[in-house]
Amino acid sequence: MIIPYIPLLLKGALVTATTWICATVGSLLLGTIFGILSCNQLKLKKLKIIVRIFAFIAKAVPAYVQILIAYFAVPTVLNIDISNFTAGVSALIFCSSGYVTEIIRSGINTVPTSQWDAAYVLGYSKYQTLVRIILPQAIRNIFPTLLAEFEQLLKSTSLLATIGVTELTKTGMNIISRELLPIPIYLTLALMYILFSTLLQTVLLYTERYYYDYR
Amino acid sequence: MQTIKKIFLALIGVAIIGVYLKTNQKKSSSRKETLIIGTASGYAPFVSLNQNGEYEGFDIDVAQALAQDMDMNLEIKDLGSMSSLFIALEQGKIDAIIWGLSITQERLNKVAMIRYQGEDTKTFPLIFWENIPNGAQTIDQLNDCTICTEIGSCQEGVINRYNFINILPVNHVDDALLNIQYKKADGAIVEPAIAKKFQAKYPQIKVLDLPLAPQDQIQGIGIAVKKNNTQLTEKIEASIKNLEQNQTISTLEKKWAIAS
Repeated sequence: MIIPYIPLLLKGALVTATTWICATVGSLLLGTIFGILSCNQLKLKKLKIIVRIFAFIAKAVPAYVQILIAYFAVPTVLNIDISNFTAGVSALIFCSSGYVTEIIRSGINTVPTSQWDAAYVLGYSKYQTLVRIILPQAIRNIFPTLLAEFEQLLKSTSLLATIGVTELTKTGMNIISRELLPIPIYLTLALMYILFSTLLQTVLLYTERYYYDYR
Repeated sequence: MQTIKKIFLALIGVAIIGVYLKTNQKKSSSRKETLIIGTASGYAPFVSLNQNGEYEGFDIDVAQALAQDMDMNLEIKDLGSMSSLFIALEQGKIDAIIWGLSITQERLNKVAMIRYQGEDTKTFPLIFWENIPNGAQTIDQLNDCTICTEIGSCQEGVINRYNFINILPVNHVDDALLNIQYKKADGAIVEPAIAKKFQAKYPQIKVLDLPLAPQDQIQGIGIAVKKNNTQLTEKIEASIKNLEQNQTISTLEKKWAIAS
């Protein structure tokens, strides 16, 4: 019964993967920038306050509500037209970057201040210290937490079904409406998400191990 | 660090390509005007995705026939849920909603609706798995029963009037089936066409018809258009008349087995 729908489910899985990759890259970029700007050592007081407010809002508002705001409210206020995919991914980036900001900030802050001082003594600039000395150590410390956040993000992609993005869950709902056999289809969806997570974990853990060994 | 950089750059590349592909799905290059129809897949036989991932169903065929008759290009926007559809219509993101929407007085107060299928409905089916609780003949005998209803549907408005019934709201009508099948609810209130679909698949489903008050009665299934968009409303009305006269609608009803 499910076999004829496998290509359709794979299409949905591809949309889920694309959504996840776009949201992960976006939140990692934004979260890294904001995390750096809000770390203790840079002493950017005003920027730090703005970033903390941003992170607070991003974490406080449920992803579902953010998706609806991104798709309906933001385009109306800005008088622009964006696709449901773009709106959904933007909302996921906003939501996840709040958490990534905190993770990166705490990662940088856990690196002892003496590391900064030692780098300055050796003639490193602030930028060089951050990129060459602090960030590599911080990333090492926060890798498992980042992995957990991105796994959570994978599951959040299913919320895009509410604005009509035909990702894996929405595809499953379509099949249910045609076949009226919810349990086997929900179980298939669960299995596909487990496969996704396994793949994600394997790649990221391999990267983590390779990174540690390399260093 | 170099490996991390490479992986990160590769991810950025994939993300950019992903966004590009998703946002550059080519629209028709024809100079004809475009009719943007909002709908939500996962509502067979009205709208769903087939095994090739294409939209199909009675409403999709009606939308295509309508656009053809109006000499317009057709763009289908899948908006996922009823609330999203009505917000999008209000905001002008879509021109009309074609989604098996019942015409009710409450909806007519908010949007213009053009009937394209179905007859007047004076009852809503309450569906039950295998047995009707207490052998009830009327809703009054369903005291303290739990009834599922789809959020935002006209059935929700109807069942909410019965204070002695426990309401279990669900996001999607198919979840109502799951709830009655696994005894999470005693019954569900659904559209007549959906009750027929469920019964065709599960003959053990029992139906109790709930008579509707005059203000709740359904005047068929309609296309929703923004109330002040009289020009489009008139155009659609004229085209629907054509489609009824040339038997297109009745042919499609037979094709999708939803004849009244």
